[in-house]
Amino acid sequence: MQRRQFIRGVAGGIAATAFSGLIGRPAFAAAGECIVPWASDTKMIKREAKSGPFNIALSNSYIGNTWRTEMVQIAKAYTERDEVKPLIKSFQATSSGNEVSAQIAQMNQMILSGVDAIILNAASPTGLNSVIDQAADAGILVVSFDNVVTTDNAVTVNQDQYEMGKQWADFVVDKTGGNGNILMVRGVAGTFVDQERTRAANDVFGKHPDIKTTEIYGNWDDGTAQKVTANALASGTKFDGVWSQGGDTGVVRAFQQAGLDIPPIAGEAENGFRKLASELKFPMLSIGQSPALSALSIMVALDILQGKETPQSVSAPLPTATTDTLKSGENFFPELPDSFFTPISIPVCGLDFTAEQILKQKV
Amino acid sequence: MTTEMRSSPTLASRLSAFTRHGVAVSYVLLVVLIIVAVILNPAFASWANVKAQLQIATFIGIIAIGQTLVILTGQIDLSVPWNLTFSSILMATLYGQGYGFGVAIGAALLVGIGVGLINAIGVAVFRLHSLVWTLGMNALLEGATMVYTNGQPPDSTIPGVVRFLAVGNLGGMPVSPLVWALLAVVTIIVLARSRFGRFLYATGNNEPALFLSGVDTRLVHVGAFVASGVCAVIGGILLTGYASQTYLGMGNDYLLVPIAAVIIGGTNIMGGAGGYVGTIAGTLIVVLLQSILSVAQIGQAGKNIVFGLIIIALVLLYARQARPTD
Repeated sequence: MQRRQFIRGVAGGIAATAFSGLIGRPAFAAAGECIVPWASDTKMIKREAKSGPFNIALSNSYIGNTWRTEMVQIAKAYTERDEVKPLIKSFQATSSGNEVSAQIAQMNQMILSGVDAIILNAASPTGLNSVIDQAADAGILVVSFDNVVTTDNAVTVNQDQYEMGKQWADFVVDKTGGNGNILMVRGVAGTFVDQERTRAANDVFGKHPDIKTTEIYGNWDDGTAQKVTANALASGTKFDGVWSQGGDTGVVRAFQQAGLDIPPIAGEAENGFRKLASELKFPMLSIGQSPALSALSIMVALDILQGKETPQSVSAPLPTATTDTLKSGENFFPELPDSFFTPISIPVCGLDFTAEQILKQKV
Repeated sequence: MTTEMRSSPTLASRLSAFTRHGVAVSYVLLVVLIIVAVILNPAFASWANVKAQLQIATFIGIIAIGQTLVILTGQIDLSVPWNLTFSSILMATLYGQGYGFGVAIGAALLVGIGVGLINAIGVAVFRLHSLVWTLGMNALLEGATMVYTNGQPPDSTIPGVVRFLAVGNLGGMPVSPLVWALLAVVTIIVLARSRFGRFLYATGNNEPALFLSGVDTRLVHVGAFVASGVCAVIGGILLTGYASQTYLGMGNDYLLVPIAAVIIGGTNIMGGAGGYVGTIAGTLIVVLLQSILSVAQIGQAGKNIVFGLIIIALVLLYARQARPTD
């Protein structure tokens, strides 16, 4: 862990945030900074320092996809690191499924067992607020990440989904010269993440009158994305670029199966997507939600428990790769399955993991 | 449905009248949809598009075979998603470990048969409702998949024969719709001509009466659920070939859509009436509707509303027609 860098990061982050606050955009982590406040008005929190080791619990909701399992594995790998281990008395990860009531029961159990901090991937942005308040009353720190919660009683750690959607759109505009048919493969309708990413894309594409977009829903799932893309291609439109939120391996395969050249594609960070880009050399931008957000959240929790001043809402860096920066074994893994999520490290935070370290952990 | 005994000729004639009616409605709807689609976009009638639509419909159509049989008996199979996922991952993993494709596919089919048997035991022996029992089975299979894969489908290879069945071409025809057509013909013949087919309807209409007439209705449930388990596995194998990979959650899309196809096709959700001819129309309607609404750039919310309205309208229509048989 890079403590000095962290302190500099906070200072720099505040300055950067003050600037980006002026231009009306949430801050996101720039190069060289790990823990960055979400916005200029993000409040800083500081608790009375406690000495470890601490009891940490990870409360997860749904576990049935690769991202979630990697997220749990990375959390376990992180707590076993030499520099982290002495701070951890116990670490336990449990998954309750997508039922809010089940996750409430699970968190109640954690509160009763007297943990110091709960790391939370929530089944609902608001449904767990009451149990989080109970945890706060009991002096338990709650750090929520990925699917974050709305209560101020929790610290949040997440990547800026708007910024991600914007960078994808900027890439597509750049590669198409700002005109042509763009296929937008959206995620799961009605989710915050899908809405933010799409809002950013439409803000960018809206500035280019010669861009015509077609929206389909791939549900962040390879099979579904492949089907809806095949469908869109079969209807006869020629697409000059693709902006895709996930299921990108399926998107590329649909183009392949239709016998078409692969256009520039901006998308998420599935291993299959990057493998295909490395093989077929189409212009690609890949930015992914990192499963290492779990480790970053534990890091933030340990900081706060030890009395460090920390933003109440942390904006995590966006792990980015392009066709030119692909490196086998580093940001994509030819020997691993297509569904593997590649951004397993957040280097700027000192969170570097290898695929082997992660996969040997039990889910 | 009343539980009183009815003489079989009247029952059969009324049933077939109703079935023909429900099927007719779904085919009329299908034709209307096709016309709308072609008006919206003439490229819809292109062979490339027809192939793409049929390819997509195949997965739903095959899974809906099993679901049709189970729903005809008045039950439902909610274990499809993780049965499909677990068996597909097992197949790809075994093949990746060097077993032949026969062993790999055989093992996957055995999983489907086993899941179907356990589902049937819950329903036929313990007399539990399939809604609860098969949902539990689904959760159990999700857990089993997690333990087996430790969260990451192991490095796997897709057998060439699976790729061929899923995305291959035979004399200009895509292979997977041919697989579907073959299974569809077998299903329609079994439902119309065989004793098992008649017992499926009779179980859904009045299981005690069928039992009292000397038929072991437990075996009827076994047949229906094993067929559903196997259909889920076949659908999963084809999906694996199509996507060139297996992954956690690959079955999530195949729970409600095939059930919707069965209901839109005119099969009574309470069992006893309907059939696979209608389900074929239901499957094509579901796929076409998705496609039309996408092409027309109607958002997901609009799609859900249209889908919901169609299902509600059809269920109301079918219920009105069903009333005279009570």
